[in-house]
Amino acid sequence: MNHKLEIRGVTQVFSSEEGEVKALEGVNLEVRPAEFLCIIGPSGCGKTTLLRMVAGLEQPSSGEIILDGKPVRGPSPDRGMVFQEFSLFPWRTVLRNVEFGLEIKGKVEGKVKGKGGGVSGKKERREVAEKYIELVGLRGFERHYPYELSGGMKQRVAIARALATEPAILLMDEPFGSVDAQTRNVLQEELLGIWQRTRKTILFVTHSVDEAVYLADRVAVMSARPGCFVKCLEVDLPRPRKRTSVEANEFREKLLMWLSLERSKAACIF
Amino acid sequence: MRLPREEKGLWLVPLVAVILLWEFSAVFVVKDPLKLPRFSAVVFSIYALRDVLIADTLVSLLHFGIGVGLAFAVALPLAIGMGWSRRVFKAVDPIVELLRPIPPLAWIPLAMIWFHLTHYAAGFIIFIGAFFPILIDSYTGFRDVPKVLVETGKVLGCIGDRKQIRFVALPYALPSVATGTRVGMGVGWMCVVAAEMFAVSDYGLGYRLFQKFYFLHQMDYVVAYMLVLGLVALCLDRLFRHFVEERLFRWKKGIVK
Ligand SMILES: Nc1ncnc2c1ncn2[C@@H]1O[C@H](COP(=O)(O)OP(=O)(O)OP(=O)(O)O)[C@@H](O)[C@H]1O
Ligand SMILES: [Mg+2]
Repeated sequence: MNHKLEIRGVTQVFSSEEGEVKALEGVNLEVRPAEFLCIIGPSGCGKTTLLRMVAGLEQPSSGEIILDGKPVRGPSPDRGMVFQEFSLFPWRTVLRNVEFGLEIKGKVEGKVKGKGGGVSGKKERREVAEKYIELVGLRGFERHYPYELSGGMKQRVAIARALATEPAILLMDEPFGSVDAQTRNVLQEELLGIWQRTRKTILFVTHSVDEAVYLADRVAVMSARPGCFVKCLEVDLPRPRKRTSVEANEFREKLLMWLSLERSKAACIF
Repeated sequence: MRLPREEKGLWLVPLVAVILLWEFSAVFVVKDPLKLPRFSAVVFSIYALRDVLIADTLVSLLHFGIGVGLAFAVALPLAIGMGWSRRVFKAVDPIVELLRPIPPLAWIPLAMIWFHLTHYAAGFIIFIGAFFPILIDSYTGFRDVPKVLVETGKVLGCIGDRKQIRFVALPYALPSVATGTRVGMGVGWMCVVAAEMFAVSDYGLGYRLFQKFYFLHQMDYVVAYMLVLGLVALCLDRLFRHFVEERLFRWKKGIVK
């Protein structure tokens, strides 16, 4: 059993005044250590819902989510999350945003040990934060406030902030959905660089076929609501990948085929 | 606030015009210092009254400080509760909305019975005036904290209400708290005259204005004190803006301006 993350028979039902909405039904998925896994599916199929459950922000109606052999009960800094919408703390500078998780961690550890040590020291915290700001290519912007940053820069800060607490797994919910195509390409390359350097497990939600083919080790295709996985495809293209290679195109076609299949309601295969 | 150079002295023009108009109408139109004392007479009165005026201002500031300080100390925790928890809001809101429309002046009899003729009686009236603006603006700030920021906090280790309030909700809501406090200070100051009308102490701008000057129909003194009331409030507001709003909320610039 060497899975990093296991999702077992997860169903999520939202009940509101108008009735019940089944967002996910019987979802199964296994993620390997250090894997880059993309989840792709049409809008509203429950991708965000699934990621939120892995993050511990929501409890599944039924089923189990197991991370490193332990069931997920609630949110914790060992799962970093980058949200679909902008999520920087507007009152904190870039540096202080990236420091946030370490600051909280310092508070918790400080209480337990009675004295600050490790990342709870102010200086160490700063060093770690600066390292990650450097990693996402934002050196020189440490003292800027979020309102002074472009959309792409904001998402980079969010990535640095999620990485700073050294999570076991990084959950990314369409992080580049709201930036232009060029910036998106640059950010994708940077993310791959970070992934290769840190060897993190990454669960990456997207609805862009191109993005999935460029980034992923494996792509899991989701059906329309209620969502479930209809196919998991190994992306056996060598890295570094070329966006326009023949193989990539072939893979894209295969992926599109599966995505169109789900529209005619193919059975959930796992 | 930085104004372009040509706008710098702009406020002076209408001000001088109003003063001239005032002086002119007092001398040539109204011709009755009881109905409208001359501006020059009022300015001279301020000078003539300087000693007692300083003492009165200090005592009024004491009443103001008691009232606004208490209002802030009570309103903030309540605002955190009401803004953060729907249950607290549902439980407390009807009481707040019932008490809120009662004018501070209507509380004067109770203030007299409860606190007799003390500084606290005046402070209490000011408290009533300042409390609700601080409360309403503050809880709105705490209520409107974006969900994604709270969840970001959770994912980064802010588990439990205390941490989430301390690290996410409070910094987010602080500008609203400041706005509420500023409005509350304004309303509180407006209550000063009423609060001091009933001779709660032997000093105070409101006390002197009503119990002494108006009683003797010294209208130039009355108007002089009115001007001082306006000036003190203006200074308080400017100080507050300078020390609190402009310094603490640089990050708000991108959102507001
Ligand atoms: N808190 C909620 N209450 C009720 N329904 C919800 C809630 N959250 C999500 N849903 C419903 O669950 C379904 C899946 O939502 P989700 O946000 O997971 O979709 P998604 O796959 O992330 O879509 P997109 O690609 O547009 O982001 C939607 O139909 C949505 O209406
Ligand atoms: Mg989504």
